[in-house]
Formats: sequence, C-alpha cells, structure tokens
Amino acid sequence: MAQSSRTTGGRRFGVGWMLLSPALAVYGIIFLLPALLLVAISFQVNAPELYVWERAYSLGNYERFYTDPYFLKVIGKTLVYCAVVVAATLVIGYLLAWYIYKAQSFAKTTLITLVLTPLFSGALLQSLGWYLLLARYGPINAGLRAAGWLDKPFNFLGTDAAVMIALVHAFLPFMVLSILNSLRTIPANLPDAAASLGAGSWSAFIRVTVPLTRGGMIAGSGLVFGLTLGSFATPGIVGQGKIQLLAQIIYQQAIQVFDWPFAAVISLNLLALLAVISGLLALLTRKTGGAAQ
Amino acid sequence: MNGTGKWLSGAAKALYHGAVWLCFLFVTAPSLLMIVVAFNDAEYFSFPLKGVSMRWFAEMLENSNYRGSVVNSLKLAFYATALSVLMTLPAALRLYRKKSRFVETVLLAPLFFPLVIWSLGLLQLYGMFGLSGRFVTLVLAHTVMITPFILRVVLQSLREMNSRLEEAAYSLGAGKWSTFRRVILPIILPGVLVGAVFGYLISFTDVTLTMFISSSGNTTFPVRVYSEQRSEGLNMVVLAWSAVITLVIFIISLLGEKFAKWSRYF
Repeated sequence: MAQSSRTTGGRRFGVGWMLLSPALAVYGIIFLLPALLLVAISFQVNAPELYVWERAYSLGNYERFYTDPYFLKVIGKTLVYCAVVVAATLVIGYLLAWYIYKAQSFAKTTLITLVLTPLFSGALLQSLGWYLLLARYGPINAGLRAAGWLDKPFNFLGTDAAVMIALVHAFLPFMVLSILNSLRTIPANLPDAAASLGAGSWSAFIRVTVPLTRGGMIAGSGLVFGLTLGSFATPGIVGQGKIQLLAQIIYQQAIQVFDWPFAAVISLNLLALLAVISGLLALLTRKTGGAAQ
Repeated sequence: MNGTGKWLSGAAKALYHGAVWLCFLFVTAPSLLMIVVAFNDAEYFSFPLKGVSMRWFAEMLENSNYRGSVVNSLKLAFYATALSVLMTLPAALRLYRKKSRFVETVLLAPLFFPLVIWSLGLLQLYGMFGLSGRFVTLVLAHTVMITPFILRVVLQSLREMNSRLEEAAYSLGAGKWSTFRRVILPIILPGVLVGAVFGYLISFTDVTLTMFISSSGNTTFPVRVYSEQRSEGLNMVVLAWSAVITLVIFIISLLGEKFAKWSRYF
C-alpha cells in the first residue's frame, strides 16, 4: 500500500485524507464539537452545581426566550443596528472604493493602507480611539464648544448614534475591499466602450459599473451584517454598558449570570437569524447573477 | 457645454472630492488621535494636549504588567499562526489537487460564524474537560479562528500558480516531496507569508474569543485593556502601547500593500 501510494491510483485514496486530517481533526474538536454542545446545553435546566450527566432537560429556556419581551427587543434593536450599519457602509464604502480604484500608483497604495490599518488593528484599538474622540473632554466636544454649538461638555459615549458610528467605522474596510476587488475584475475598456456608445460618464457608471459590482456589494453587505450581529468589543467600549446588543447579552448571561443554557438559547437564535439572512442574500446573488466573492 | 453646465459639473466635482476626503478623515481619525494623545504630558487623557513628552513611552517599557500581556499576545499569535500554517498547507494542497466544495466550506466556516457563539460553545467544552484557562486552549482556538484567512490566501496562490511547472518537475523525475519543497513551496511562499501575517494580526488583536476563554493569568493585551477600561477607565500607559501597536500595524499594512498587493486577497 505504501508502494502503490506513489501512483495516481493510490494517491487518491490514502495521502489525500492524510493531508486533510490534521485540519479536519482540529476543526472537529475545536469548532464542530462546541457547536453541538451548545445545542445540547440549550435544553438543560440551569444547574451549574450539578455534573453534566445529572442535569435535567426541558424546553423552558426557549419558552422564556420567546415570551420575554426584553430579549425580543434586544433582537429588534440589534437588527436595526445591522440595517443602519450595512446601509451606511455601502454608501461610504462605494465612494471610497471608487476613489481608490481611480487613484494612481502611489496615492492608491497609501489610500489602501489607510483603509487596511483600522481593519488590522482590530476592534479594541479602534473603539478606544472612538472612546477618546467622543469623550466628555475629547476633541469633538472641544471643537463643538469652540464653535459655540455646545455650552457644556456632552457625553456622546453610551448613545446609539455613537455606537453606530463606531461600528460603521469598524466594518467599513470590509465593504471597501469587497467593492474594490469586484471593481478590479471589470475589464478596463468596458466603461470606455459605454462612453463610445454615447453614454455620459455618470450614466456609464450607473448602468455599467454599478451592476457589475453587485456581487461585491452583496458579499460585503453579508459580511458587515454578520459582523454587526456578533459585534462585542465596540458596543462594550463606546456604549459604556448602556447599549446592550445580542453579543453583549450572551456574554452577560454566560459570564456574569452563569446561565449557560440560556446564553446557548440566545446564541442559537442569533445563528438562526444569520442563517435566514445569508440564505436570502444567497438567493439575491443567484437571481441577479452577481458573483459573490 | 454652456457656462452653467460647466459650473454645475465643477461644483459636483468639488462636492465629490470634499466627501471623499471627509470619509478618509473618518477612517483615519481614531488611529491618528490615538497616536497623538500618547505624547500628552499629563497623567490623564486630555485634549488639547497639555504638552508634548515621551515619558509614557519610557513608562510603557518599565511597567511589567502591560509588557507581560503584550508578550503573551505576541506568543499566542505566534503559536497559533505556526500551527495554522502547518495544518493549512497540506489541506490547501489537497484541495488544490482535488476540489471539494464541502471540505472547503467547512474549513472556511469560522469566517462566517459569529465569534461570540463559538466562544460560548468552547467555554463549555473546555469547562467540561477541566481545561479552562490553559494557554494551550487559547492557542487551539486562535488556530481555528485564523485558519480560514490563511487557507484562502494559500489556495488563491496555488490556483494562480502555473501548473506546468509542477508537471515538468514530475516528468524530470522529481518525487512528490521534492516537487513540493523545490517547486511549489517557493512559488506560493509569498502567499503563505501574506496569509501568516493576516492570521497573526487577527489573533493578536482578538477580543471576543479570548475574553470568553482566557483566565486572568494568561490574558492578552486587548482583553486586559477591554476589561480594565470597563471598570477603571484608560491610563496613559495603555495609550502609549496602543499608539505603538497602531503605528506598527500601519507600517505592516503599507509594506504588505506595496510589495504583495495584499488587499486583493479579501
């Protein structure tokens, strides 16, 4: 068998799975198992003092989740956040992507770097930046007071607008890069062709360029939607505990209240929501024929 | 084009450029402010600055608490990246040879799976086996978190490779291992590096996953800062570290874009 694995026939069977198995084994334990565990635990009656095999099972957690208006309100609020953030990143992201796409060598590299830096420095550092910007004695308050629009410092932290702005900022790079990469796949002479057929630059943009980047826009929207739905650090720091989105509630239930089963129920509902929305987006992609990346 | 039309298109252009620069200001403002305020010559954050000094950067190196958590983050990201590259390379090679949508989707899944949910599951798994808080549990979780990013880049560089080179190596009598080592690996090495840097940065800056499963003894810089900020606010040493990290990440992003054009991998 060791001999024949050198030939094509043997390679198909043995070596292939050997190459995949380390990754699949680690995924099985670290990724798949926790997800399955979550499903099992969501039916448990919360009893942290008992061993796993001693706990009772019921549908109580689900009943509590669907009948308590507080959690439904949190879901609604999180969805509103998602819609606002997706819409804002789409508009701003398209503007930036288009400008970068049109920029030349040095400017292009610099501008892309400016977009990449917040992406790579992650949620924490960026929200610390917003925390400073919006703080009572931060530059925005200083500027507004110097202009005479505010007579005493206003604490922007902990308001919905502040958290939304910080989230738009955090996820904007993903949208810019999604759209930019789909702009890059457009053959360079296509807009010229449209222009030579008599389209003005604006109508060529709207009727040729934008439809060709629909795949990038849908992919970017899906990504930003998912990221907002699960956002944790940014609402925590910019919201100062006054803004509770789904991820925050899950953390609170699990780490502060120690109600793991209920945290699991919230998580599974979040997941179901995400699945439905991704399904709709996939359908939209197929219908419009745009290639998601 | 008449006079009014020219004026209109001029105004539209000015509006467009103004909007674009405002957006770029929006994108960069938090990082810029972060770097500027670290030079503040005062005990607390204040704006405008009380004076310019380097003292917080000196303090930053002396304060072993924060230095320890930064070193922890660096170590964690290093182990996770190394492990992930080691398991991604063979898997990518297999997926390149024999396409399997199913396996590829499974390996990329963490990318689309909300971290909070997965972290909660992991917390319970580790708790069940009594492993909570061990460093190795952090390494394994981070490995899986960054694998999709590395896999995507490596797969793309494999698919962009000229497959004739591989065939030529075989026909000249090279074995599979030596073909990999002497032909395939050198060609895809830039892609592997880009993927590794992606993965390293994502692991280094993670808050959510680490927040759930780390213990206070081995926590990372971002998680430490996050929990402290919520309870006792920010101090200048944290701002100095944040400024340095932001600057380093800016330089890495610039080099990656200049030499590898890595924005196209997204």
